Amino acid sequence: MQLVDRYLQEVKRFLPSAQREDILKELSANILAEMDERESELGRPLTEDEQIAMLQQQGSPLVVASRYREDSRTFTFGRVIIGPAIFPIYAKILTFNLFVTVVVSAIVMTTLGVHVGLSALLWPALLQFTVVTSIFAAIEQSQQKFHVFDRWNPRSLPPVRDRLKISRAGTVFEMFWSIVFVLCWLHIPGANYAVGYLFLGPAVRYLAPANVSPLIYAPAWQVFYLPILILVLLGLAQQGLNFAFPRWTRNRLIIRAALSSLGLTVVLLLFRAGNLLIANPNVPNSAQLGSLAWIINITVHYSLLLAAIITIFSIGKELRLALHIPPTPSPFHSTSQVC
Amino acid sequence: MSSTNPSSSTNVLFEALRLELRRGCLVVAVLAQLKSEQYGYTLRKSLSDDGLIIDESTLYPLLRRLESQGLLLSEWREENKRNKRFYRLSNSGAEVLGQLLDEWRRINSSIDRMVDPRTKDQSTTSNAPVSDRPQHHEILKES
Repeated sequence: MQLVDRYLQEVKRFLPSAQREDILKELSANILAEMDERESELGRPLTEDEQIAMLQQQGSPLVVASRYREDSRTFTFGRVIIGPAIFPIYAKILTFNLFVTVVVSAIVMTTLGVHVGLSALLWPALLQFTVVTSIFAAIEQSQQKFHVFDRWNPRSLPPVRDRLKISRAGTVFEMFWSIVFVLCWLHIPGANYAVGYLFLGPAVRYLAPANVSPLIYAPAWQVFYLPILILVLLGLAQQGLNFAFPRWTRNRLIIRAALSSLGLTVVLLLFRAGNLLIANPNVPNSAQLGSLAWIINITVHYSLLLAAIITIFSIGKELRLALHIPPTPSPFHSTSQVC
Repeated sequence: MSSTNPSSSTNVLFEALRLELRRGCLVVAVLAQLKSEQYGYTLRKSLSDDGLIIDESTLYPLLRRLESQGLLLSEWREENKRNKRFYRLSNSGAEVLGQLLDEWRRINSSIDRMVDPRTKDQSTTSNAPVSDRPQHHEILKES
């Protein structure tokens, strides 16, 4: 059954999201019915080789999924350059790459003080289009000539992912950075030095002491000081719970999404607050530090925007996963679930 | 020295034309088999038993498409401790099947007359009303 689950998981990746669950349910029912019948004919369970032969007969996950899509768009230039089986993946990757290319180019140009015009963005976008299209055209050609999609091995399918399992290594990583952040945020003596040492090693001793730091935090930070501290501490508490019980529950996902939403609010407010670092007036020649402060503020500004986009995606992912888990039973009925 | 193998290119062409020919026939066959209710796997088996082998990756999506077009009805039901989606012909599916079968028979008899002269002779000497015959030309024009 493991192989069938791995096969279905791979088909699922390429299915249209609107009908994904329904198609999988039906495909799974048909495959299992076929297995049942063969097993009853043989009077024994199917061997792994027999299961593999049966799955190979079903077709490669990419091809099977493409047949379910009503979208049969192709990229045609005289003849078919990219066929319907891989066109949706091509369209998705091309859109993503073009978006990233245009955004990154615009940021770099703004930072360097270059005028951001359509013609300046056109070349990197065109280069991206050429590279992605050439790669997919080569894949399509190899499929037409050598039927590469048919030469797939069910043994090489990735193992079934348990979406509710929480990686302990990931949690430890999150906890480590949360603790470091809290120590620095609370100005615990030596914390800043320790973090600096982590990145720079012994070279950290050559950095200027905090009282003569050329840049200091803008007053806007005072408003957010406490909310940020509370949010990180709440996050740390949940990370501790995740470490002890490394499995998502519906309630825990909802709490995490709520914390992420509060974090997103803070990020957006900081984004709107303007300059977050200013030149230290106590440092001699602080006026000359203006351009350094400007570059750092621009970087922080766009980093906050990026953080906001990532947080929105992560909230969406958490809520979608939460919707797939049935509500946790009342503790009066069961004590096996945590949180 | 030419690198093109004529028999191989003919085979490729034949395969493409064969698939084209089969595509429409499969719809008729599936609709015809679903006069009685079946689910995906048993339908594939019954088609195969009647000499029409069809891939799973072709049949299962086809069933969903025919259902979305209103030609089939489906229902999830438990059988042998497993939930399965059973399909059957809808009223409009039965009507379309009747029309498709008429069309199929007309095309079939036209082609028979074209490829087998004896059938053609029988046809011209038959007592069938002449008004029935022009339909063959219409079909050929359409195709």
